[in-house]
Amino acid sequence: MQLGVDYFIEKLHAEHQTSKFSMGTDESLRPLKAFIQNNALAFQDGNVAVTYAAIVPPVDPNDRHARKRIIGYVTLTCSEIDLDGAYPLEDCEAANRYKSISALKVARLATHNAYGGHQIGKTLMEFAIALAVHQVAQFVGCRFLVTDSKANSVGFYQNKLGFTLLDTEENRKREHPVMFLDLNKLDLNAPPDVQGEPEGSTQQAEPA
Amino acid sequence: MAIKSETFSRVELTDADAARFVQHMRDDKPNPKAQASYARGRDILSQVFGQQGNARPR
Repeated sequence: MQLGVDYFIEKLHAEHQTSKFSMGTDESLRPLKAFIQNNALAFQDGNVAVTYAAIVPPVDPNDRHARKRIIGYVTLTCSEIDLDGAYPLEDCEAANRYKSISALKVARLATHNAYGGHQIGKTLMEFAIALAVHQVAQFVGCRFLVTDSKANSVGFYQNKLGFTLLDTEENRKREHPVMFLDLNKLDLNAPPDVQGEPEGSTQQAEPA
Repeated sequence: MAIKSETFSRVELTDADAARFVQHMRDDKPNPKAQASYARGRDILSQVFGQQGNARPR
């Protein structure tokens, strides 16, 4: 049995402590650690990509200099899906002459290795889906949430979140298969008690 | 190349991959798991932005 973790989601800022963020010993995950420690804030300041962090309070609340620690993060950036030609958008035929469709991209997703099993990555992604709908699509137009998943994270995106794997032979062979969620297939007026996967699983969210 | 996508860039699809994507768009039914994720995310979003970006997600 694992104890719960009280954490919050905030937009990344300079006061967050990133130096203790760890992805464990897996070399393939090193770029995710390097990004949050070295690049995420610069990407944000440069309006290239914005990071939202799952954070916990400082270990010693009486230490005035202690900083909130990051235990997971998701990084989002504007994107598009280029289909190399006209596409049949039946719910908006006037847009069919354009060759690409607007999207929001999940560029990074990672959970601190000491906090696996608390569904932090899943929560960050659920937040990202709703953000795509309510903070992006409804203000500037955005049809898809898309990501280049790690191959061993395809099940996480499909089974835990409802993403679609582009079902082609080439995509299935990729190191980072393209996965997407069509925001237009969501019912924004559905009651909030819609049930999906049971919450009992403690599988750690895999990084994007 | 039929699929080209990098971390901080767009996704380019051609040939069979573009055709399959269009088929997904046209034929896939709404996914209950995606709907449930959105519903939970909506609650989280309202907490995060509703309380000055500093709220517990669950």
